[in-house]
Amino acid sequence: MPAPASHPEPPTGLRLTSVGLAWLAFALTLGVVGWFKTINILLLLADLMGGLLVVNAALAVREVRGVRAARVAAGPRFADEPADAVVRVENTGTRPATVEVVDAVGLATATWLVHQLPAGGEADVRQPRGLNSRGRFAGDPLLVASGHPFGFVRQAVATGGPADVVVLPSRGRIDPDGLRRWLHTEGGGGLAKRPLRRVTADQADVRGVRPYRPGDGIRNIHWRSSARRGEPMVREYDAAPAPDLVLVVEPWLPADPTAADRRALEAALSLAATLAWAWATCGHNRLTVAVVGAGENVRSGPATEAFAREALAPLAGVEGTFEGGLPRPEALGRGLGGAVRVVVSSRSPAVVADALARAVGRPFLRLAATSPPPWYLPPPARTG
Amino acid sequence: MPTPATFRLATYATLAAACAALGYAESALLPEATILMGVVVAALAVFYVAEDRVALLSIPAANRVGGVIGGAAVLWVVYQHARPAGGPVEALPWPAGLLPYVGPVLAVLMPAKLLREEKHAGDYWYLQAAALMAVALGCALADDTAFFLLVSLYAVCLAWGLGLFYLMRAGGGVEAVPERRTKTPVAPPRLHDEDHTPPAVAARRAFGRAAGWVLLAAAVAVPAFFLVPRSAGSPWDLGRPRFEVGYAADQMLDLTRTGTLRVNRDAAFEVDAEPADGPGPAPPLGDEPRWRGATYTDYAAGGWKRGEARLPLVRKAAFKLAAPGEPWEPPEFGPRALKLTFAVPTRLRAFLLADPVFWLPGEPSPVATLSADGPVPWPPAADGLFHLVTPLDPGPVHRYVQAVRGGGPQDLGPPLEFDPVRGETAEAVRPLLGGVPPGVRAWADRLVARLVDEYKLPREVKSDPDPVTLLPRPAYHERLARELARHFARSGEFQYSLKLRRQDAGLDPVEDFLRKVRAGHCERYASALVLVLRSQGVPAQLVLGFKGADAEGGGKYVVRQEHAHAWVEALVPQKASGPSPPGNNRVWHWLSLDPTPAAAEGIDGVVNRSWWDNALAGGKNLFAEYVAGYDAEARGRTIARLTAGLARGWWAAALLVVALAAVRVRRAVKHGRSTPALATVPICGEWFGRLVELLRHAGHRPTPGQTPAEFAAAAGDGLRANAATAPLAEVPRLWVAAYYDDRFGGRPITAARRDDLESLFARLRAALTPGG
Repeated sequence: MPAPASHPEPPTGLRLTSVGLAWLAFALTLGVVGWFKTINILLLLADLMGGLLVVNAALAVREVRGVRAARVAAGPRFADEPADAVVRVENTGTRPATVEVVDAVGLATATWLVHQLPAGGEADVRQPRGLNSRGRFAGDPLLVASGHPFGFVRQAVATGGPADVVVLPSRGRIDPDGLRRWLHTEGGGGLAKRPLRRVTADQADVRGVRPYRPGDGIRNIHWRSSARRGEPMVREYDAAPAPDLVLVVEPWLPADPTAADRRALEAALSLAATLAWAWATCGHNRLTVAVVGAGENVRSGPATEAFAREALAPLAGVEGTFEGGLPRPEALGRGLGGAVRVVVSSRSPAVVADALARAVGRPFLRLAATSPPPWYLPPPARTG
Repeated sequence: MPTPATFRLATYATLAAACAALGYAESALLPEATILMGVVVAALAVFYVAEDRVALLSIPAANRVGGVIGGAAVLWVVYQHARPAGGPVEALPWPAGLLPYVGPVLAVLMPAKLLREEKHAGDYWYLQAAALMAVALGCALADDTAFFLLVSLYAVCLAWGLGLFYLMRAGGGVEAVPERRTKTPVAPPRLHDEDHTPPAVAARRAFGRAAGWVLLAAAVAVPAFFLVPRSAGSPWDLGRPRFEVGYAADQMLDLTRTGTLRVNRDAAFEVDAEPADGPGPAPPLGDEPRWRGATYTDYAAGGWKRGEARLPLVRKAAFKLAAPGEPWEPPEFGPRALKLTFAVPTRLRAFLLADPVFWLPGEPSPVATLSADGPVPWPPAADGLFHLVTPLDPGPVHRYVQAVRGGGPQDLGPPLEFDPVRGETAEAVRPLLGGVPPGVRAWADRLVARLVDEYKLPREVKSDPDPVTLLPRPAYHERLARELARHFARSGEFQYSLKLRRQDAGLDPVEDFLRKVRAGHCERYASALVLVLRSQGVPAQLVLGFKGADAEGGGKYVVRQEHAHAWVEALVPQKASGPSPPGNNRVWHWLSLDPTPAAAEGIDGVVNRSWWDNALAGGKNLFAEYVAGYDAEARGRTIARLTAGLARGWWAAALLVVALAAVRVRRAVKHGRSTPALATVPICGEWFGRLVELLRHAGHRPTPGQTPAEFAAAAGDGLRANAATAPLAEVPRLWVAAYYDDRFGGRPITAARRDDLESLFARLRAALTPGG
């Protein structure tokens, strides 16, 4: 689920920690007893404890001064994709610095202790980002803090600006052959067969057969020719013109959604993300992703992995919509006729598909999260 | 980043230092607790070695062990309370008597906690708190120099341990407290460590840094300690008798006590000296003026008491008594005479007078109380001294004045005569001849015989004794007394020491001192000389008072408790110089004798002390004055000295402040200049690659096996061959040198150096790519 939009301000400045508070209380107690009973060594010990507190504050301020940190930019990532929080820390001071760096994004907080970073040096610190669910998580400004050397007093400064971390829906798995057959079957009325074959595991027109070479798939063996030639022969394909994909996602939720409705929404978004990612990784021409109900939220571009992440980014923040406007036909691109047009919805996709078909004059394939196609394996359900 | 072993070493060292300090503090009250602390310290050492090798107890099992130990400790305390006598519970006031028993309980719970297998941050905080409480408890039980040093050691170990503990907590090396772990589910922190120092070296450096932190903290704590006003309450005292150098006029001198006397720097009283004939600079009092207080005449079984008998030596008629209403005038002692004004606190319960107290027949009494109605002279007593008989006004300070002769202290008092009515009889001086133990008499006889054999005394001392007493005749008393005092003080056979001990408790303390111990403080020397003199028929008494004074300037002197001293007065006859009654042509003098060895002014008093002993003595003096005995009065003195010092050297202080400010500003400016924006180009990795990529276009390619430095040298040669690039031939070498520094030398490239190199690199690129 998307993270809350606002975060409390991170604690900055010089603060007494809980341990420091206890230390101060202990010192005051000893000091009062020592003063009242004129136990001079006890009084001196209490004064020394206070002095250590002051030294802690001075050194903590000094450690933080001159240390800067910045997040190393990372694009949207899928929820099932491992990713690290990477922060670059630089010490522009004149002494080695020991600081804590806190990177709070959503409810996940990554903390590093950078020990003895040399003067003028820099270091990249990384840690697995513990964000496993879809959402657009607000990242607080990085916090550079230090309680060095005792942890009684903590000096913290915010560095850099806030930055969101976009986590895309989890991806499932697609059986390429199943998808190819489904496209062939469902897209028979008006869709060209060539692009339908192409989308399935890089296979396009069969140019001929050739002798088997180690590494060739068993599926590609042409049994008839093999029987005729007396040796295993496999099909050889031609590279085919890549088809485009126009993917319309309807994140529908009823006015009073149930848990099942929300699960359906997440399933629809995962299905859409999986389909778009499969399209992008197979080297096709263009990818267009439109989200119903999100205003003019249509993104179209080359079908690359980077663009796929960008195009799917709106799905990270989708919260579901009861009623939403359809994307304008002209926003879906000029080559709509030669593209694979698919509507993915968390309910029956017929409503949006029919409306779009009427608007653009061409039919849309329909995928419902409530009844996923057999070629699609949803991502495993996450707990917690 | 500390290793777990280093962290454990620091923690265990902190606990051990706390146990050592507490053990030392308990030693005087509960010796078995000190033994227990030693056992705990040994257990800590064993745990440190074995903790990572053997399986420790589970948390419930460790808690059970702790419970058993705590229960045993409680039973032990109950037993201590229930047993007939001897424990601090009986010796100390309630509830302070329980304090010594808290220490062992704290100490044994430390190893019990260490037995836990899985320790989190809370456990380590518990250990640190227990150690701190142990030291705080020790502060209430001891306040001497050795304990202070142990506390200082603990403070450094504490800073060391806390510093490493912070790093371990922040770096994830120690688990957080379980309750906090559940409240804030954050990922455990990761450590990025740029410090690759070997653990042993890192541990030493960390300890050194901790010592520096403690010094910095002390720079804050010490002024606060000195400047904070003192409490008006009575000083903390566990009820132990204070065994220290000091004057106690109303107590019996007990020579059976053993232990180490402490130095007490408290001011005892003050004296203002001025010329007797009017205003003007007062001549100095001399190096070691004596201030007599009480005299002790009765000795028995190691104790001195003040006798009631007064020798019939003078007649009141010898003094010019002032008529009622007539102002008191000091006697005429000559041009260098002094008038001393005493301010003696009432709590001292004594009247001190400059010794010897001189007077002149037919002149007024030399001592007078300063009352609101004017000076009230003190009447003379039968023993030739002056005693106040009229009560003084109640007040915190007694003020009186004494007229003294100039020329510094002298050892021979004014001439005295026995009261002709009672006569000069043996009975008259009997109080000053008794109490001599047989062993002392035998020792004295041997000593006198030896001194005669060594020609230090005339042979007649032994060969021509008094026919009745068979003791030396009175004519030899003065010489005998002086020689015996000299023997004690300068023969080298005796040593001064504040460590009072007994070697044979079956002997009289003075005999034990003379025959066995041969070391002690002034009371023992004075006691010994009095008894030795008495054994030879010389009437003598012990005088308790002070010797020395701290000059404060302007004729003002402060006499401190550490100046307390004991000496001897012997009553010796001399031939009368003037007309005398028929049949009696001699007068008597009180002869002051100081048998204490000359090196007695220090703390320990060992003869021929080394520089180390002197330093130690000085340190102990400072500690006694500025730490253990620092009270409201000492604070006032300190602030006054500080103020006066600042007033004299204000310009130096101001100069120092300006210099410090200048250094600070310079650092700030330097820091501000060297704060560039966050760089995005890493030094390592691409650094050398950029150079290779650039030079490749000019035909310089690294060959297999060529090091970056070799490649840079070769490329530099190639660049020199071309007139356009010759001025920049050094750029590859500089570039690679920076690469080496950063990657292998542990010397990161500063921003300024990087900017310079980037500038050279850009010029080289421009030279190699014409038109680009």
